[in-house]
Amino acid sequence: MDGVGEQVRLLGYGDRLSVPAGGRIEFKVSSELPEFTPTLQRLRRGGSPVHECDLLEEEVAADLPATVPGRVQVARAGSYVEAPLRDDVPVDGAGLAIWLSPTRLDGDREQTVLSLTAPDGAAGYLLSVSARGCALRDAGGTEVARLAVAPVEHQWSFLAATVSRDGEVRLALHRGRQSHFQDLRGQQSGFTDTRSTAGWMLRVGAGPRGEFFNGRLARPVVATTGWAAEATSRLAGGEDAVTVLGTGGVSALALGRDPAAAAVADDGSLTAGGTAVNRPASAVPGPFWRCRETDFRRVPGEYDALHLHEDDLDDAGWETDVVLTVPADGASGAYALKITAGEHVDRIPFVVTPSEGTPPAPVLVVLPTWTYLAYANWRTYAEFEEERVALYGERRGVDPRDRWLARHPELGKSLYDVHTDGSGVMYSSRARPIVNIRPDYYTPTTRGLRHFAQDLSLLDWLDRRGEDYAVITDDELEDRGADALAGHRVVITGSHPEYSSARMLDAYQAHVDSGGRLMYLGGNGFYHVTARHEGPSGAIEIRRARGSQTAWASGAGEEHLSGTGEPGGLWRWRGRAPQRQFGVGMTAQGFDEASGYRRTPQSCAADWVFAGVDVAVGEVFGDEGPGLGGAAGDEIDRADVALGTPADAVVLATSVGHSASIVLVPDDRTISYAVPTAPDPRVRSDIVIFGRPGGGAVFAVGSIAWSTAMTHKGGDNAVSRLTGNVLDRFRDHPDPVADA
Amino acid sequence: MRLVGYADRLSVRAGDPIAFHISCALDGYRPEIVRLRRGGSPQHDTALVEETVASGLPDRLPGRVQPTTSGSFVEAGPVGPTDAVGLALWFLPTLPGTDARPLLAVGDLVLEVSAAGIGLRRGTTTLATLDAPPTERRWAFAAATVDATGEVRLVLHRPGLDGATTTAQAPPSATAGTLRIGSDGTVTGGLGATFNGKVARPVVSATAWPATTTGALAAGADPLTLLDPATTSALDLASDPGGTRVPDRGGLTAGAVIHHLPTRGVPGPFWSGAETDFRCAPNEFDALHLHDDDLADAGWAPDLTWDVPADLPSGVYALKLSADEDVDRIPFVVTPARHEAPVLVVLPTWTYLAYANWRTYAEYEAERLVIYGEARGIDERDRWLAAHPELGRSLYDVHTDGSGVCHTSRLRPIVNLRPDYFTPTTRGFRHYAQDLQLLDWLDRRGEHYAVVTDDEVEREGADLLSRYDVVLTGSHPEYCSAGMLDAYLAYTHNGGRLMYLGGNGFYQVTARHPGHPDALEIRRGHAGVATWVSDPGEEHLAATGERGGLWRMRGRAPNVLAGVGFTAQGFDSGYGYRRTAASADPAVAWVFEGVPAGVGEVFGAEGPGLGGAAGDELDRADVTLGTPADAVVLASSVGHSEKIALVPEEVDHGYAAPPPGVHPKVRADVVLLGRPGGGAVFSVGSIAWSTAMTHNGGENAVSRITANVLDRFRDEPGPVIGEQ
Repeated sequence: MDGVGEQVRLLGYGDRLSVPAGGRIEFKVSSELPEFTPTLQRLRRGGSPVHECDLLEEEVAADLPATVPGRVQVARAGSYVEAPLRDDVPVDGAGLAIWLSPTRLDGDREQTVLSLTAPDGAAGYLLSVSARGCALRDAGGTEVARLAVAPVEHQWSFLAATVSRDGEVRLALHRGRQSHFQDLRGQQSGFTDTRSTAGWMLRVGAGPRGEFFNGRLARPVVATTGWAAEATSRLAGGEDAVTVLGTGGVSALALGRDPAAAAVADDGSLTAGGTAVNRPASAVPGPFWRCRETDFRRVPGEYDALHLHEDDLDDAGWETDVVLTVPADGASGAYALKITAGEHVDRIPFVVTPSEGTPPAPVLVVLPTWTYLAYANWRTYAEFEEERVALYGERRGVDPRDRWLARHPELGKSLYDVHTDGSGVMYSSRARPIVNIRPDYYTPTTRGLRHFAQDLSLLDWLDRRGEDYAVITDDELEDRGADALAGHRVVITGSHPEYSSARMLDAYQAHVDSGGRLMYLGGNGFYHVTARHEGPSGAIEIRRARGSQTAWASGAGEEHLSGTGEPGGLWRWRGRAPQRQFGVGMTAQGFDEASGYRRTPQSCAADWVFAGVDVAVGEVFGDEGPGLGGAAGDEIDRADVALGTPADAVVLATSVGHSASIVLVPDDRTISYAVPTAPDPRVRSDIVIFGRPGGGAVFAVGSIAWSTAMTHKGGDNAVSRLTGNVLDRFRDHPDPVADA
Repeated sequence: MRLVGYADRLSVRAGDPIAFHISCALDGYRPEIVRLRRGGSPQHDTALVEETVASGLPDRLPGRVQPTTSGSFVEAGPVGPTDAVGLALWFLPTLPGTDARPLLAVGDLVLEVSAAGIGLRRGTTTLATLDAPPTERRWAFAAATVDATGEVRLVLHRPGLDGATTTAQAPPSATAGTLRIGSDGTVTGGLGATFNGKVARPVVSATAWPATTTGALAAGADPLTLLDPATTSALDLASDPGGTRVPDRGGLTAGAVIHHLPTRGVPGPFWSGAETDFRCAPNEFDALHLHDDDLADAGWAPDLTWDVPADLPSGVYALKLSADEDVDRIPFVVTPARHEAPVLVVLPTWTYLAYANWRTYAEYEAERLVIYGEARGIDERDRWLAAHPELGRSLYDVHTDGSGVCHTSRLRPIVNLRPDYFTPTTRGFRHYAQDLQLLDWLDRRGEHYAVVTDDEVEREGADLLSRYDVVLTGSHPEYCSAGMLDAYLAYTHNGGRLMYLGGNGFYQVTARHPGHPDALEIRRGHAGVATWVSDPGEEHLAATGERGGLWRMRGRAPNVLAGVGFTAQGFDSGYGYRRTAASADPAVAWVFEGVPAGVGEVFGAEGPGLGGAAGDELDRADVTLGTPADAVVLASSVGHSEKIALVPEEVDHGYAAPPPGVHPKVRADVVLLGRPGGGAVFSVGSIAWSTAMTHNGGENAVSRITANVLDRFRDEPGPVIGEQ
């Protein structure tokens, strides 16, 4: 695939990932081509020429223009806070002060920590830092003062600049317990004439032209008059800005005070408050953290910092090019707006959910869109292409869109990536182009289908069986809780529903407790504490807590989610291991090969599951198929009563024959001097079924690869048949488990 | 060990009394007070050096055997006599076995549980049994009622499964006696016959309640809304997690005493998982985790008390017990009555306690061959200890049920806190016995010094440290409270000079237990070099409520205080340090005066034990973790084998291949830093340093460097970075 399509010239995103039938969805497109053609497609199956199967789509009539003019739209990454000044504030100098902990000082590149500028760029100041030192410049870029001492990376410093009316300039850096000053006299003040401050902008962590800061900022103070050196010392000593300077002509933006909000209050009167742009990390400790508490809710005043990144992106903010009103009678399912210009094609996916009042279909599929977002624009396939050869034991290629993405850091990262300063990415938004949520996206990990493209195979399988089903996403589950599942006899998950909120777990629990049936047809589900933020970008948030050994680890005091305050990390460490509700939970992963399952003697208690399946107790099935070549592969789950698997759950089959490349998750690794058993008996996938009082039931397969294996030989295979047996029974039979 | 004992404290101020508790299987023994000058034994490279101190103790004392029974439990009452009784308890068994263990008892009426089910007995007479196995590590609810006619009803409720009930007829009988949770009051010596697992929401009533009440209790109802509070006990196990007493919300008892430090602040059966800090949802953390090998106090009677003379020099002493070939030395520190010395040594007794009676040397002797690459032998006392689980464990061990040990107490015999204890990890000296080598070195230099322990630093803080020009740490001061870190930081910020002559210091969040001030508490969390991890919702210390784990995860990496912090460990060998270019700056070159090694050359690569100054556990400087930017790295260790492994919290994430060869973070750094006001810190970043100081009779570079720093720190006020 090398060299093919490496230039993505047509790309877009929807303003949501799901819309009810009859609802409206807007699409934002960047096109380097003069025009493109939009059509509505129902996605029936994922695939492409480089996959082992073709993509299947059906055009659906919709009220769309024949062509749309193309225009290039770009994203602007980089987080900062901006606050417009109130009009008519008297100006006769300037004071700028802030606490900073830089995380990526980069040669002599000046990163702006604080700026105050007039709209025409004619007046103002920028306070910046680089590895060479600190600088105060006027709005025109002329250096006013400079210190040849830089703040220390990952340590808090205090930087202040004052300009008096008569041109006295003082620049001070307090680093540790040492202070560095530069005093200048007779400078040209940036504010010689007092004028209207209408349109003036105060920015924290950026200048008017970007120059983004990487690191922590806290307690910004801006005044339209210089202050005395003694006031600088008091601020550096931790005194409150309003106590030192009053409120008149002073801005003291309360960063971090409301960690879940983009709005930032101003304790002074210079602005009416500001807005955090591109979602910098909040709920991070500030310079006066006493290290006694690690939960920001207990000591909110000590969490007065934001962590800004030059590659933060929340809402790409593109203009709308196509508006679609989904037909009111449109069937629930997976769709895409297909945009075409010559050989250039993009498919912007979305789910049509049942409209309100529609009688519930017997079967409901929940697509794990939060997990799609967690992996959205995951950059390591292209960044670590060579390293992955060793991981896989073979060269599997990369989707060309990933190579293109590597040149576009402004499109944001996945929750598995790190920022340019090495800190972990905690937020992922849907309001941006996401190249790997595509029906034809090629995933090297699985030699083809994974996530969205794989879950389309499940829908294809349901279609071929003639099932009457509806589709929703994690967002509907979060919005409506158990109501989103109510009335559907069988709820089916996607192949990898890893990222969940408490509300989502509660909804599944309520469904099963009230007689509903659940088929968890995936692996590593319900694993990671996740929350969604308010607002149009639909951003999800995680923390990787407790010394995570996955992708990155949260910093000290940063394990609580800014969105909810709850402790982040794995649900397991919150007492909600997936086994409790779903029978199985994440145990191992590896990507060389998938394996088959051996049927257990206990499976005779639910013999009907194997009806028509030519597998006796002790025999192996599911060891063939596309992708990794078996049903038990990718990330796999095991039953474990000690972690919460119900004691009466029946393990129907257990995977066998895993290679040494399939490794136990770190959270399960035994810490002892005893020589470990090899291979670890916990490296296995278990297929589990159990009933609940009231007729509820859960069937779990414990493997991401399962639904890929269901497609083997056109669906004529044991894995498919077994799934069909369970679906039929769960849908139609009052007794969900015991042999009839 | 036929002769063994412990003191009622690890340190005593000159002029104060200290008591000793001794178990002796021989007729009698001779007690002496000795000043310990140096650790050692025939098994070490070094002989022990001690001096007898005139003590006025009797020549001989009679021997008696003092047994110990471990096992935590709760005790209240007495209750009754009552004709009818109801008992109920939530429990989570962690080690269900064939023998039944008591869940809840009143006098001789015992509700008990085994892997097969629950039972009710009166004394040794079984009244009823219910064959319904509870699920390991899952909450279940057990209830028993006996009415005035002798009708017995037993119920086991297992969430998600159908309830199990049985009834039986017993002769009518009054019930009376002490209310106990987890124990029936039997004390046999050895490992207790107590319950292993979590318990919550105990209910005892002087009435036999109806089956509907059992159902309501199983559903989570408050017993005091169902039963007459005057005749009901509803012990509030969630109350005061740092204490040892809990109130009774009912009127049947006046509250209970919690014995032997079960784990508290533990989530109960109705934990929602919303919060993981018991302070945020106290009512959901209403469980205790009981272990049959918990031990807070061996409880031996004192055999002798010694009034330490007020003029006895501060130092390390022992009560030496001798009976023919049997000898034990019970160590203690005499702290200064007056602060006159310029130099203070702080012995890291909290770390000694963290490792107290560490059992894995004997338990995993064969496995350790692989770790070390050679057979190093073990101290015979460790083999004896393996046969005495009742003497409690270290914070590196796990309980009989596999859960981690969170508490360690000094009120028990501790076989590895001995001047002649042989540590395989280091081929000889470590911890206490090693720190005696530092005192020997000070003695040979003729230093005027005093000795205190972590306890004094925790109690008296910076006020104590500020009386001294120089404070020296021991070789491994890993376990610290926030107050101790505050004390050292304040000391160096107010002109004090700290010599951190060890490795892996200031690492783990630790607190004195308020209910049992002789005991410490930690939680491992889920990071760092650990031998167990905390269960979900159990990462906060019951003692203080604070988040446990590494200080690093609390924003206080050791680098902030000491300039260096834990980075790697391994036990095959010790290694040398290479002098940095920065060390040639005249402002710091005084450190190397008289040391032959020039810039770029290696020193400290020889010595006893592991055979080098950079060994065992290593620390490195790292500005991103808080090392002051102006700290000077004088030397960095080199030549480590691949067995010296990076600590887990430093392992790189991501797909990038690790750098080839020894990871650049695997190194010990020697660091010097000055603080405004003349304060200073010198850190060596290695546990093995002070052992290497003894090489060649003290004639070596490591010893010389240490002496240069000590002399300047002691004698010259003003900035330490600058020409002499």
